[in-house]
Amino acid sequence: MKPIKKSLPLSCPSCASPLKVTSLACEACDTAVSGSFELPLLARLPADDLQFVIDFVKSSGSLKVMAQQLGLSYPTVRNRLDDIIANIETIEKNIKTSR
Amino acid sequence: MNTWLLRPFTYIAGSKALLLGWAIMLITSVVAYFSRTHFDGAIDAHAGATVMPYFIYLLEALIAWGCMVLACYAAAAIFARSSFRLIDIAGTLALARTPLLAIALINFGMPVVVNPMDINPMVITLALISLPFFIWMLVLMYQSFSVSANMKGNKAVIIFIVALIVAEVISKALISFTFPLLVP
Repeated sequence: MKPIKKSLPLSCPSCASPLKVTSLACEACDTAVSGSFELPLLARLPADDLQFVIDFVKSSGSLKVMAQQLGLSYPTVRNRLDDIIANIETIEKNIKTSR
Repeated sequence: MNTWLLRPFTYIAGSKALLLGWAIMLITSVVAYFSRTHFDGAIDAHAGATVMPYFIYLLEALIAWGCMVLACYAAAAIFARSSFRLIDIAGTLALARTPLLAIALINFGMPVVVNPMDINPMVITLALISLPFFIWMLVLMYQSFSVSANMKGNKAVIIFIVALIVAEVISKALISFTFPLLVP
């Protein structure tokens, strides 16, 4: 049986509000921490968008280098970045309205 | 395969696309000269017209492409929310004219049509064979605009159609005003 790749749930399945972290655990010593913690902004991005941001930072913020590495054209990569920026702005708005 | 045919600009744009597009435009103009095909407008293709010096065929291609670049650049400058580069618009639009090479080749078999009475089944057949290539060019032109200016959806389609009409009018006007001065 294939292992299931779990993705971090970002919004409440019931009311679609952004979720918070209420519990963290150490797998080494079984210590558990509970509270109410905000997810960092970048952690709220979908996995592929987050990977794009990581690749972007790794390539020193050069879209030309990224385009070469991914085998895509420069505007395609720049458009992807623009879409992620728009996504981040939407998330920021949602966080503000949910407070 | 479909992506390379219909969305090649996902993989190629900028100066690479421009050089490749110019090379294909040059070859197309030579083929058009021998097959007497005039691309005398942003999206025009006419067969069996008057024979003219070679430079006219090259100039037609450059005017048609240049007008499309100007119209799409102006449209992007007004409506695009993202940043964009002229080299991407120019390069991808040059490459988008590749299907015209096929139309120029098809026109080797096109009989000369002087008046509507000359239209025969051969003319209609070749026109129908050319049609998919013409549609392919329009799809590529739209993809060029969409990828270069990061515009999608109905709004992008409407803006592109307006830019296309503007480019067609300007290119037609330029050709009709300048060519009589060049070829008396």
